Amino acid sequence: MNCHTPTATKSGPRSIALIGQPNVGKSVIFQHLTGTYVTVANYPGTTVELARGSAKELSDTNVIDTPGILTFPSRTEDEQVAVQVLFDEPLSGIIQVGDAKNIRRTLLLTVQLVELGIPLTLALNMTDEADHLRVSTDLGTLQNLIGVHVVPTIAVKKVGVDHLMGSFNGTGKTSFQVRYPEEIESAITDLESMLPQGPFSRRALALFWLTQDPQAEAWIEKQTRCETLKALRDRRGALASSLGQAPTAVIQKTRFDQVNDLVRRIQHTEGQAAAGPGTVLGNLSIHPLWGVPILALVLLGLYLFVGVLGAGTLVDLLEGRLFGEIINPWLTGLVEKLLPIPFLTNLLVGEYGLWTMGMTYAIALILPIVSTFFLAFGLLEDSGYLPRISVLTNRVFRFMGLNGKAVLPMILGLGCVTMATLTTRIMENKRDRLLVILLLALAIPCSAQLGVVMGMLASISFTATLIWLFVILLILLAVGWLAAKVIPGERTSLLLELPPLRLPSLDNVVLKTLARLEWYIREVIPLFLLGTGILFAMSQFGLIKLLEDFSRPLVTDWLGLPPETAAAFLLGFLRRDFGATGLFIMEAQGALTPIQVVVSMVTITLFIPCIASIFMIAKTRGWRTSLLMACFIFPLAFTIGGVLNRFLEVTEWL
Amino acid sequence: MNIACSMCGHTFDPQAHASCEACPLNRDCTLVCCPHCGFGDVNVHGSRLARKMSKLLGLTPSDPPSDGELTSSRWMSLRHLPRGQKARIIRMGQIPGQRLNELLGYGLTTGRGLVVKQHHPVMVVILDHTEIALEEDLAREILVSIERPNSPSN
Repeated sequence: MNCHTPTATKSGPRSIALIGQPNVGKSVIFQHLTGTYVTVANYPGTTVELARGSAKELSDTNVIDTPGILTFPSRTEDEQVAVQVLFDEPLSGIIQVGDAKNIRRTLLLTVQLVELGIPLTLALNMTDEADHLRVSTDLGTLQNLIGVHVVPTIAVKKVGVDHLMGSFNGTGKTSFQVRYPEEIESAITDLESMLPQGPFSRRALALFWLTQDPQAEAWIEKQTRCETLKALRDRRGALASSLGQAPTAVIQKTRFDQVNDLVRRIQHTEGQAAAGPGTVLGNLSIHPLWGVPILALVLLGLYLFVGVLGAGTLVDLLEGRLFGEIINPWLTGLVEKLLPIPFLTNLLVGEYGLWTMGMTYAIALILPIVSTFFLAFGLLEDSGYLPRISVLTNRVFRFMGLNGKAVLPMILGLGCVTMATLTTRIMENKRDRLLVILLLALAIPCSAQLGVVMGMLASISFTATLIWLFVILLILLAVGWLAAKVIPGERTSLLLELPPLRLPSLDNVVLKTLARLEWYIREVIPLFLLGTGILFAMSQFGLIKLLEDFSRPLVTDWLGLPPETAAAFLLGFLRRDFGATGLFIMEAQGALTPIQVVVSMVTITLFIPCIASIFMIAKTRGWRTSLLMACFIFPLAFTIGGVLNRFLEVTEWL
Repeated sequence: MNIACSMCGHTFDPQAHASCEACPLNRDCTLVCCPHCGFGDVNVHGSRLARKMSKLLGLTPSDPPSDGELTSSRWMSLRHLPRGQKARIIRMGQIPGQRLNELLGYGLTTGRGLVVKQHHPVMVVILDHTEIALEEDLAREILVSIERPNSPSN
């Protein structure tokens, strides 16, 4: 039991929080309310990104775009951050963004937000979709019943958004209140007298306590003395005993019944709307037969955009022409002229130079590839297609002890494993997150590496590509299946909303891509430079040659590769695409046979992730887990490589 | 499972149709004769190939109800609700509290009407104007009552 003396609540600039369920248009409304100057940063102590911006219409007021929350109490890390914002930020108002065609779910959250006592406005978004479905809501009656301003909006067309900021009920007080069963009301009254004054009403705090919201519990424990905490727990326990079930179930059911009553009074559906092309395409996209070719087409489009345009054309322009022929030669000449000290010159523009290797690779090679990937991913995300991929691939992930939601970080891992590791927070429990992180680290090549690998294998034969693909998929499935048996915990079955397919909002996609790129530049490029610096130091002290000699039994005898590949694997640890590129150069010089190319590609794909990913795993799961994973993956990669080498030598398939 | 005659519309249970057993062509016959008009209609449920394709296309659940699952012509687990059939949730079974809360957040709770859109590759149900994908182990715990035609699905 933690015993703390109460502390004062924080104060600071005023803020308005955008709160709502996922896929209702919060981010689009956020952009309209804030304009261009926006910061995206991890919420302290979490890997969840929160966007903040200055309100265009209200000076000295920030707008915070919170992660989607289905209902209180919070479950996932994203939802917990949304609740934490209620505790940490000095909120002058809340704008709840709701889906006009799903008024029941929207109001379930509304009645809970009303209980907070913070001025609330309900932005009923996507009213055009509701109109198309012939769903009409009597907004005037709704406003009168719940005592909250209701503003109809169509965020993607900027309709109604201008009325949001000036629409707050000044005090946040409304006559509407959910009336719970007598036992619960009695418990609320008792709890209110014991709870500290918080950033919102004691009644809401009592309800958070009764429903065991983890963020609320943590806040109350910090603010309350030991004896009072015990009394709070006893009161909650007594209520559960008298109800014969968890108070959460009764509280939620009561809210739902009240919402049902509201909906009966305000909503009408007139007939059935004809299915539009979006609906038809949405149905086909999850069809057991038609869904697969549609997915294949999408993946082909992804390959053409990222693999051909990004990794081919753009990299060629930037790395080959701009850096290779213009910037680097000029800079090298300039540095050699201004810095006659060989050590410094080599450090900056030598073979392992911070500029010629680190920055050139980061900007000219990797950035175009991740940019095109993030753009493509943003389009898929905004269109509502990603949850449909979860449905189509659920069976595959079920075999690996996961559910279809795992496909989302996996796809993002094909862009950047470091960023994908962050996205694993969408998995519902620690076990699933750990499993996905392991598979990402083991067998998902990032886009830069994938581009190099595909290029090298394609230059040998289609058989070589198939062998590589087969081995990687086999290891992915086998390790996934085995790890699911070993890692303690139960598999979480899939439960997911499928938003309608819609045309992506280009503004939204571009802004999200820029935010992701900003994160990438800030977090990953310093690690690039660190890695290059380490390599440089090793080359200066002859450690690379020493490494080659030391690793001879493993690299040469076991894997059947030339001794120089040891340096490529070391580079691969720093950046997987560095390693693949090193091997690419060797292959171009004729130093590798076809078997050696396939073996080295398989080994480097299965190899431990780059140093940035290791740091990210450590950040999300701790250093112990990170090192354990590395200790598992490293020997596995070399074992598979060696076995494959012997197999290919015997079968002579290449 | 009842079928409707293509000729006269009379609904009957082919399994309970005694005259088939007396027919000399009964063995391996995929036709069933309507007791009302005598028309020989194809019994899709009697054809192994048709059943497999029906499951592949998500038209029917992956397996018939087991002994432990309550079924009748009016109520059954959501898992076995035929595609396109309207039903109302009458009981939420053994579902952990957090998951139950999540289902409630989506609107899946007692009294709510829904329709099954497909069973494969994952079950998808429609309630209000939301499509929810959920696996069979969750669907198994949700008991539904079949709605009569033209009743409001709330």
